[in-house]
Amino acid sequence: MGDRSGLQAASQLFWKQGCTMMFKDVADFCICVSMTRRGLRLGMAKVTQVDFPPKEMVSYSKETQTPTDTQTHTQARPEEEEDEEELAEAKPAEDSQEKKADQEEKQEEAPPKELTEEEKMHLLHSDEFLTFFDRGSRIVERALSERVDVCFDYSGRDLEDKEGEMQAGAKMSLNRTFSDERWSKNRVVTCLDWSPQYPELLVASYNNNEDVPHEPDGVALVWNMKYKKTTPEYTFHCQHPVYCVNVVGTQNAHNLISISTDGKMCSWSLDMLSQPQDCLELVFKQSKAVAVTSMAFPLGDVNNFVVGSEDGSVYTACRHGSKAGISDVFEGHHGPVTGLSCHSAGGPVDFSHLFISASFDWTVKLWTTKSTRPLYSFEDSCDYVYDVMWSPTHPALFACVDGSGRLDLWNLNNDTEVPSASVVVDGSTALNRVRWSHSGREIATGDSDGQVLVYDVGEPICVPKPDEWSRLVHTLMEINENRDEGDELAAQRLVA
Amino acid sequence: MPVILKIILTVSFNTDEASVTVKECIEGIIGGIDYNQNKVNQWTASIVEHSLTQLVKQGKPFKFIVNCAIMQKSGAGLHTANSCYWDTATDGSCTVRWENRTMYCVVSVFAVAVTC
Repeated sequence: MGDRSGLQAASQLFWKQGCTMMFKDVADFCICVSMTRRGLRLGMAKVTQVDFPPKEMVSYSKETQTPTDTQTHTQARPEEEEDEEELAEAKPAEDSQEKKADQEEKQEEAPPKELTEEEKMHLLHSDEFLTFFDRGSRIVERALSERVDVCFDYSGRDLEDKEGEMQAGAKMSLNRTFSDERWSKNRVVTCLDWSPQYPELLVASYNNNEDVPHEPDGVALVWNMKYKKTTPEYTFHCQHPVYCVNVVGTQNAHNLISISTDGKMCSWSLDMLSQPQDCLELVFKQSKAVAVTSMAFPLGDVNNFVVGSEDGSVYTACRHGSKAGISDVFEGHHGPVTGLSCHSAGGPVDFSHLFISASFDWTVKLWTTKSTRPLYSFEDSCDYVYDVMWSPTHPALFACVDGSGRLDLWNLNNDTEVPSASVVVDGSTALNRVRWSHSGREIATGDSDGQVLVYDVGEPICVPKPDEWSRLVHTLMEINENRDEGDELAAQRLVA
Repeated sequence: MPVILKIILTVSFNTDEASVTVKECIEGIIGGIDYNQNKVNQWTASIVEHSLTQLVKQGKPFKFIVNCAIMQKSGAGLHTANSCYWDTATDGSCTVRWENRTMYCVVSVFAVAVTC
């Protein structure tokens, strides 16, 4: 064919009729093809969508004990404002009369300014006023709750009769019960801690209240032992339930460590609580993530720690260094480990290799980091043991709480078969947490109903005598011997 | 001897190939870099130009429209959608989503077949 127009005409025929064509060469064929016009068939294409969901912001808000929105004009106000109002009402707001009043008052006091409604509201909501009101109301509430016995006779004449009572049964006595209608009712106490700076302050964290879904899930309350008022000093809440936190380190260089059942240990800086500073995945033998249920740091150590897991094993681990992660496994419990405590009572002998664990298998076991088998098993409980803690002052004393509401004190130097002291909490609640105060004289426990109970421990029990440490060395030797004997017998039985 | 050929020709857009091409362009320009407000305009322009050049180089008879959006990761959500009315047999589009620690990048390519 050859010429372009000819090719074009041919191409139209080609496609329309699908007839056979003769081309001089391949080049012509290609040109013909490229010139085709096909009929257009148009349709709707599928909609393409791109979605990047927004990041969920975890918010935490701090609220002081008296919420600001309950303040109204009718509540007690500072004296100056009351006077102002009275004076303002007494005088009509006319210029001449005001001036006269001003002149009259000049000698007594500065003339009170009459504030407009707007100005009053502005003043009531200003930061200065709110801080003042907050402090003032707290102080007044403390004063009102104090019940001081003005008739107390220091000469002791009245006490003679009571002395007998005080000595008998003074092993453990209930000192205070802390509970808040709004914030702690119906929530389980998940964690407790005493303040190192102010020994009368105690913080308790609570999980969510299932009955009130629109209230924040996580609550922490600070309670004050010093004053008899029944409301918390401070209230904090956050979106997620709080399970367990621990502050490690010194006052200047410290980290908040949190650990979770997904096997991740996060370290947080208190300045930036929206994202952890760093995370450590706790994996045993490079495959199994450890479902951590409890954690403890030995005294003074910020790197090595022990964790207990859902499968009943206890692991030692490191936070930093080349061996960061799980180091050893201690197997012995038959149920999830609920509580761990590292020995912390300082003294002439170092027992910091000892730690105890509590578990759902009704037992508390004593371990040493030097051996992966338990040293001893305390089997006096008839229910899940929920928490355990060494006394910070007495080397052979520890407390444990269980699901039947029992708080037991064990003294290794006295008896390892039964607890040295025991008390059952009224009401059918399970005790979830136990914490000795830093002085080692009081114990705080939290129960499943949101109550925090503080017990005073009698002196003969909680104050260590100077020979406790050496006695404990003997006790541990005995325990060790018994354990080895026990193992040998077991081995012989297996062979036979 | 004359050779007799019966040929049916359809050229349709290959979304997978285009996807790969565009992804490589994005990686080459903003892979491993954090969001930088001063440079982000350069990046969007480069990504668009580069992708377009690569697509045209393939030599297929298409008209291309390339769109690129870069969003800083700040917790806000981003949602887009697109649709077309065209010859569904020959024309096509592909959307590539890419992200790193600090930003999201969405590139959409639309290819409309050239008929003559």
